[in-house]
Amino acid sequence: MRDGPVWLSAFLLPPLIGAPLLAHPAFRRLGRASRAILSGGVGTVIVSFSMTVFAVAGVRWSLPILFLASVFLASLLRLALREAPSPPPERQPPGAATRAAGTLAGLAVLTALLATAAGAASSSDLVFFWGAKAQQYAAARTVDARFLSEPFLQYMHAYYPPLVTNLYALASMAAGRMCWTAATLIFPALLAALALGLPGVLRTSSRAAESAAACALIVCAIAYLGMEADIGGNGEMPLLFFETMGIALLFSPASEGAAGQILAGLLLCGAACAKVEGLPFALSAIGLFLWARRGDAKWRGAAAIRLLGPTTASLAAWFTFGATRRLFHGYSDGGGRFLDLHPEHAGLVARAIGRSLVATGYGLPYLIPLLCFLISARRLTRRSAFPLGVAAALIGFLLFTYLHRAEDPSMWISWSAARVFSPVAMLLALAAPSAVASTEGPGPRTERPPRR
Amino acid sequence: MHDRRSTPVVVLAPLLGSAILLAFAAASVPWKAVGRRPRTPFDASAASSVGPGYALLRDAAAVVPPGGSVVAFTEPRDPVSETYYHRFAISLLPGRRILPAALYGRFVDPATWTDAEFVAVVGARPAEPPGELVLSTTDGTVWRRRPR
Repeated sequence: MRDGPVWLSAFLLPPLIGAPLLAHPAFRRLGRASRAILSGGVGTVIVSFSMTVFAVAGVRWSLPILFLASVFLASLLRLALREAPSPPPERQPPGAATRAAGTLAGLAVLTALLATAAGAASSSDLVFFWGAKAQQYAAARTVDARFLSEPFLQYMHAYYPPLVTNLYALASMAAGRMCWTAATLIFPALLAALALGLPGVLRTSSRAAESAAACALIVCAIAYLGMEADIGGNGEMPLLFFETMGIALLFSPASEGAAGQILAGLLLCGAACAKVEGLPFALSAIGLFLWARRGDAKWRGAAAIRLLGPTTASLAAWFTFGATRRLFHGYSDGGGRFLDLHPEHAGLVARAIGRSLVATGYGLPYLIPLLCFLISARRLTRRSAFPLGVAAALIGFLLFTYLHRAEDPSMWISWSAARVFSPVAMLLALAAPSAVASTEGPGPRTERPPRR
Repeated sequence: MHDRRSTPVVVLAPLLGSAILLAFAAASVPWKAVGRRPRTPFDASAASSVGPGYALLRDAAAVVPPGGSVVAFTEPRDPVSETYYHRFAISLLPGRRILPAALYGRFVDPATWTDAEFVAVVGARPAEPPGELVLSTTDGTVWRRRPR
C-alpha cells in the first residue's frame, strides 16, 4: 500500500535535475515558486531525453545513472548561459483580487483532487496504453521494442512520443511496480503545479492582479474540463502543463534573451514529447512568437535555434529509435497518404465536435474563457493575436486529423474532442489580459528585441 | 504601459468566470464517495461500467502465476467489452501471456485463445464451467482450464 506514495515521490527527481539550470540568476525575475515548478518541467524533459537516448544506444535504464546523466545535461545547459542576472520580482502585498484569484485556483485544485481520488476522473487510456507501456518499459529497463511490435498490441500506438511513458516508467522503477491510482493523481498534481508556477511567469508581462486572475481562469477551466473529460493519468495534463508554461514564458520579457528562449524551448519540447498534437502547438507558438517580434533576421535565426533545438533533438532521438527498431517512421500508423482527406465528412465532423464540447460541462470550460476574452478585448493586438493564432493552428491541425479518417469519425471524436481541444480554453484565457496591454509583441517591455 | 480603464474588466471577468467554473466543478464531485478509498480508479467515472472487469483482473494476479496464459471473457459474451478486458489484462497481469478473445470490437478466431491456461469471466458464472474454479468474486470468476 506504500507503493503509491513512493511512485508519486519519484516526481521529486525532475525538480532536482532542473534546479541547476533554473538557479541561474537570469531567471530571478520569475520568482522562487515559478522557478521551482519550472525546474520540475525542465527536469522532466531532460530525464525523458536521457531515457530515450539510452534506449537508442541499447543501454539499460538505471535510476542513479539516469539521474546523474540528466543533472550533467542540465549543468551543461547552464554553463552555456551567458546572460546577466535579472532583478527579482517586486515584493508587494497581494491585493484583494490577487488573493481571491489564489483562493479560486486553490479550491479548483482541491476539487480536482477530491474527484480524482474518488475515482471520478480516471482515464481508461491510462490502463489501455500509457501505463501499460510504462510498466513494461520499467520491467525491461528500456523502451521495449519487442513489446511494442506484438501484433495484438497495435492499439498502443508505438509511435506516440515518449515523455509520459518514460516518466511513468521512471516512477515505476522507483516504486517497483506501476501504481494505477497514483498515476491518476498526476492530474491534480500538475494542476497544482500550474496554480503555483504560472502567476510568477505571467506577472512579468502583466499586473499581479491580471496575471493571478488569468491563472485562476486557466486552472478552474482545466479542473472542470479534466473532471468532465476524465483526464486522470493520461497524457493530457502533462501536455497542458508544458503548453501553458511554455506559451506563458513566450509572453514574458524573459523570452527576449537567450536564457528565456532556451527555457521556453525546453518547455515546448515537453509539449511536443508528451502528445502528438503538442508538436503543432509548439511549432505554431514558436512561429508566431518570431512573427510577432520585430527583430532582425540574425536575432530571429538565433532565437529559432534556441526555441526549436530541444524539440528537434528529442524527437530526432525518438524517431531514430523507431526507425532502427523498425517500429515506426515519423507519426504514422502506416495507413493512408498525408493529404488523403475526406471533405465529405466536414459536416459530420463539425457536428460531432460541437456535441462533444457541449457535453463537456455544457461547453463552459470553452465558453467562459471565450466570453472573458470578448469582454476584455477592445482591439486585436499582435500580442493577443499570438495565443489566438496558436489556437487557430491547433484547431486546424485537429480538423485535419479528424478529416483524415476514411471511416465515420464520429465515435472517435466523441471520446477525444473534449480532451484534445482543451488547450484552446487555456489560450483564450491567456488572450484576454494580453488584449489590453498596449505593447505589440509577446514580450511587453520593449518594442524591439535587443540587438546583440 | 497598460490600459488602466480596462484593468477592472480584465481582472473581474476571469474571476467571475473562475467562480462559475469552480461551482460547476464542485457540483460534479461525487461527494458521497469522497474520503472513501475507491475499489477501482473508475468507480465514479463515466467509464464505471468497466470497474468490475478491472477489479476481477487485478484480483486474478493472485491466482494466475507469472508465465501463465490468460483469456478474458464476459458473461454473456460481448466483443466490445472483451476488447477492453484484453487491454486491461495486459496492464493488470504483467508477466503473463494475455490472449485476446476479441480485438477492436470483434471476436477473434477461437484458435487464438484455445490454449489459454486460465479463463477470467467478468460477470455471472458461466453455465458450463470452463475448468476448475480458482477465484470467485462479486465481479466474476477465474478458472484453470483442463489440459487439452
